[in-house]
Amino acid sequence: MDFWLHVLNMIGLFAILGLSLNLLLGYAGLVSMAHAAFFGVGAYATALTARDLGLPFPLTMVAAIVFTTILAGVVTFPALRVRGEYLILLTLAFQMVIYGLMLSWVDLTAGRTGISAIPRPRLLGVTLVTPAQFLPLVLACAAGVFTIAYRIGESPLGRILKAVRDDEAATLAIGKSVLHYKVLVFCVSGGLAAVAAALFAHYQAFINPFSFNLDRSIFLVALVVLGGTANPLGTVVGAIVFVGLPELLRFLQARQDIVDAIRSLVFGLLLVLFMRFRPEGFVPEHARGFGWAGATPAGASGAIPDLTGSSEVAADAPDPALSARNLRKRFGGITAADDLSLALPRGKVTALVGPNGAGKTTVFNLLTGFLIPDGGTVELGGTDVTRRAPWRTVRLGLARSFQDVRLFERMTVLDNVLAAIPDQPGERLGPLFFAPRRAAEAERRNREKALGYLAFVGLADRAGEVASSLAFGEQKLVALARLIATEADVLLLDEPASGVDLHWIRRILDLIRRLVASGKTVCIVEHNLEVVTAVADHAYFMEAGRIIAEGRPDELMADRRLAEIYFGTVRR
Amino acid sequence: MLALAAQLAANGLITGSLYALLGVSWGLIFATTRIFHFAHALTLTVAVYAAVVAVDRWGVGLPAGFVLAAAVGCLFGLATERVVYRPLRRVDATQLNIFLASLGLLIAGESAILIAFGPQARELPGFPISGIALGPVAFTTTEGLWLLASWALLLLLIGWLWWTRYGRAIRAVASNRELAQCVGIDPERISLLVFAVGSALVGVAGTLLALRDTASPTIGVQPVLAAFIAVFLGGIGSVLGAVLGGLILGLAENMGALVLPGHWQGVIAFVVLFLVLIFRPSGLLGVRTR
Amino acid sequence: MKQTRLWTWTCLGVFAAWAAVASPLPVEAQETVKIGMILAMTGPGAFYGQVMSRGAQLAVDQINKAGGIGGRRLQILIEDHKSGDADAGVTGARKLLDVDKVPVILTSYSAPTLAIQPLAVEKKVLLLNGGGVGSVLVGKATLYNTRMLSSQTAPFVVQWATGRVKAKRVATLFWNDAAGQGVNAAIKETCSKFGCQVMAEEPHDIGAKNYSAQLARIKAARPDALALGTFGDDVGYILTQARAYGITAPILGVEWTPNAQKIGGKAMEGYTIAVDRFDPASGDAKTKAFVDAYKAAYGDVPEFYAANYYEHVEYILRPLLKRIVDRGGDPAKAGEILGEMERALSAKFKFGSVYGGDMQIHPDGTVSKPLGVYEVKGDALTLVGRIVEGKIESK
Repeated sequence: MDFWLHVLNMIGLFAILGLSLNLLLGYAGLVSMAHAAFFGVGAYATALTARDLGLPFPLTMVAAIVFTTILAGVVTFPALRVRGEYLILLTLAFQMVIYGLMLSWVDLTAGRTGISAIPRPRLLGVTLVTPAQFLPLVLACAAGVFTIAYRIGESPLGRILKAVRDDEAATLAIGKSVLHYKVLVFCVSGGLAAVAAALFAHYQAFINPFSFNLDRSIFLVALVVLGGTANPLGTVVGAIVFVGLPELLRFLQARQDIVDAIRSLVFGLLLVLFMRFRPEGFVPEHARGFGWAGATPAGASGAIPDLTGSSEVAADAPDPALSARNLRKRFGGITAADDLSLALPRGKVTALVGPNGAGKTTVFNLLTGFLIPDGGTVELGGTDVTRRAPWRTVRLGLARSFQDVRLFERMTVLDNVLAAIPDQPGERLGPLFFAPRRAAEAERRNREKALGYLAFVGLADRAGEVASSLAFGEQKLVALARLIATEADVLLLDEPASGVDLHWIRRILDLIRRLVASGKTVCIVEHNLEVVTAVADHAYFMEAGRIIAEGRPDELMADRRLAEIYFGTVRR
Repeated sequence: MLALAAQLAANGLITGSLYALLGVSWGLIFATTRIFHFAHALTLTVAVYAAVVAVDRWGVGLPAGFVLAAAVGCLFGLATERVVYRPLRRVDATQLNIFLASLGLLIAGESAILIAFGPQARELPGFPISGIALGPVAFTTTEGLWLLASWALLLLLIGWLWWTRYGRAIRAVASNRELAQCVGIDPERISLLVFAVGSALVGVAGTLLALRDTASPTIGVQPVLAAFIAVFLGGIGSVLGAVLGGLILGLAENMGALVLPGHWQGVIAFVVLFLVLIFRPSGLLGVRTR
Repeated sequence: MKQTRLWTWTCLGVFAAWAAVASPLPVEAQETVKIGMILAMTGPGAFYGQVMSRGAQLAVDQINKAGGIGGRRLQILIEDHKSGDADAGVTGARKLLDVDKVPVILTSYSAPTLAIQPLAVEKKVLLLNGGGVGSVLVGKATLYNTRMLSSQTAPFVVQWATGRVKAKRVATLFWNDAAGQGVNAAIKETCSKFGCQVMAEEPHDIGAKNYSAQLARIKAARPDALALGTFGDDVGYILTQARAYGITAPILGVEWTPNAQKIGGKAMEGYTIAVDRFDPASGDAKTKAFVDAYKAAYGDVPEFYAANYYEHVEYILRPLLKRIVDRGGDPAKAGEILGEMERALSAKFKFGSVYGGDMQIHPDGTVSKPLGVYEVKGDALTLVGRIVEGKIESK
């Protein structure tokens, strides 16, 4: 019986490890090949503080958590700038370095020999030695970690993590700091892994580097993916299947070396087959948007919101709402912006037109901080925002949309809009765990708001659908709703009318007019001159990084020279 | 002290040459297909075992063993592309999922080899090991062969990539897949070609390695990790970069022995990779700045 | 998706049912006495696992063929620690201890042995180690090492170096684990007594085939002698490379295996070791019987490791089991074999040795066996010095 209890304990420990990795890999989309290294660091921290400093049990776990969390936070910084295969390799390199240190830094870790005779924990007067004695503790910790992971995952915080996973640039564009959340999720992931590490060290009473090698990291990643990313239940299933079931193979009276190889063979085959036939894993991520505050997104509940909510839209608000002076930007030999100045009058629609490659989207990037100008300034209602991070600029009231829409594809329509609403307590760890009622209240209110924004663009009935399943025109409308949800006063729309037919264009134009009527300032980049004439009060004509004309759209259109630039030489 | 440095530098250049060959074999595939082909390690292992079986069990001569390794590697690499990667591309699998499938293949393959051949290391006989001394620097005949074979193959490959039609086609696809299609190059066929060539090269590289290290089911992982480092250090998409990366890696590992005990070599390699990825992700001669 | 859930819960249900049912073991187990073994069945040390299990199995087969001991047959159950993974060792041990309820475990490698030892104390199980040499293995309850430890043999390496070779500068190259580090530490300590200086200490990974960095550093230190704390095949690779890199100093060590000899070939010439050596060609009638039986069963001449594990079963367990059975006890009962060992030791029982003659097992878990200094001449080891009462007597 002891043997099976031992297996249960191992399942519990791996479930904790898997849950901690799922937050990182499943929700935030950050592939980490270094999780076994975190596990190992936590274990060694536990072992060394227990044996050398004589710390008793719960304190050793605290020490492990602190140490691992700090290390995880430190690792985040190099990891911030890389994605995809670069991140895989970076974390792989980190894993190998840590493993090498464990093996070779013999003075600290005793290398291969490992650290033995780790003191057993004493809880409530009982010294925990046997698997049966450890089981309640392991299960309790596993349940606790599961609750934490579930809470984070299914909360506004989880929503932002998924946003980071789906599209980092779009996350910045809705005013959320990607850096902040990446560091947060790395730290939490590391800290939770340390819980498993401390339990492991005290349970085995012996640790050595082999338990924390690359194979272990790969196994953890596979466990999370096969179990089901972004789904805590999936990880638990994964742990049971991949840690528990292989133990059954021990009972085959086959040659011992073969038994292990058979286990690995099956594991490898499962990986390949799942990736081909069932990449979402055993338990797929729920994309239903039901969730946390309980409300189901049925019908256009709530009136169309008062879009003049922002306090800055007062009669004496600064005009122009946004001005740029002498912006310059070069890329190698190309001048993308050449001493460019413009101003967006408050409450009006301004258009940026020009041929392809004139630098219009670049201007948007420079204005919003997605690109840092080489020179010049950008002022938003009197505040200099030239070198601010894009997400900060959004919080100050300037937001942009993207030419290629960039919705959070794997999230629901409602979640897309919800994510953009600023100042959500549920996005912060503190309120999420220590002021749950306040966070739930806010979430309810925000839901109403988001449904209102969707009603404004006419898509409230699609709120529960996954964003990727909408038609392109509908996606553009959702993106607009998301933009409005940021509560910014100055909205930069990048080609709002492109790629859709007349029906959608009319809807979009109508929405733009209504936005302006409620006090917003809008700037659009457009190729479609009819759209420009229909909705813009003022236009700038750009060519090769410079503004060469400005005025009312009909004036510009009548200018022959501009027509030549735009259309090429006019045929008689 | 100088003699030690000279010896370590020599060691570094020798292993660096083999790393260069390994790096190029993998980098060719990665730059052209963008598949993170971890199972390249399995190709290496399979090819080496083919050579070992041929030379040890069937008594075939060592040169023929090399040829066989190249052939088996080539075929196995092609098979992985056709059987594993292409179906995944058809269902629009994500980068991570393709990577995991590659890992799964590697794990399954290593286990299969272990079941079929047993866990013991196997010698690759047929090459007499003795010492060669050049002044203060000494190396084994095996290492000499590594040096010669690696450079011969690298020069051949570079020539082929630069001066033949197929070679240019490969470089075109690696540079811009869509545009290459526009000028009539079939990226799928080129993918097969690079898998064939890259896998053949890794088979030979692995066999060279097995002359010193003996063959075991897990022989493929460490060399392929070194290949990753060489490619990312030198810059993806650049053959010369991979060569340079391999040489620098070899030198860094060995020159490190001037100050650190020898068993820290492995750590040095990954610290190098870590630093490269942080400070210069595009690599030293990187062609792509993605 | 509902289907998946259903399927998942069904699988879990089946698993839970199996777990509940799997515990009780068939009644048949009552008759056999199970001997657990935790060996390197996979990984770089797979060779050891193979020969160790062969040695033990041969003894078990012989005993069973003769009707067992007191009618009780023996059975060997093997678990794999994957060449030193203590985790795997512990999981394997738990299965042997909790499910199979073995009363004795034959272990190998220092790290897994160390990891298993507390479990053995808990379950009152005897541990016999014939492979690991780390000095950490001394004085651990329930653990008895039938191979002399590095701290016992390495000093003689130094004695030889300073005496015969007149070495003043010594370099060491050793396994980067408790075993190798134990040799290194012993060498350093002895050197301080015998007046030589350790110029270079180079650890290397177990099973590493590339020693170029370490050998380069050693060569630069210009030693008069190179002492190895290395075991198994690695010895052969090191000697080959050391000679190829132009290190001409005499090379000494604490281990030689026929496989290493095959690997090293001519480079092994002159390699000198101080060991409790198993010599299939000498010894006495016990040795000859073992060698013949092993050759008949496996086609190979047995070496050191096979001998040690044969010895565990034939010359330690057999007499212990006999003693238990003779007084009416049940060897399979928890604590019986362990208790009998302790009783035997305090009664100064003489255990025979397959090496010839007897071996002396000490209560602190170490053993004394005839030690000698051997040199590789031609393709075989030749005795060049006997170690008597702590001193080398040259032949």
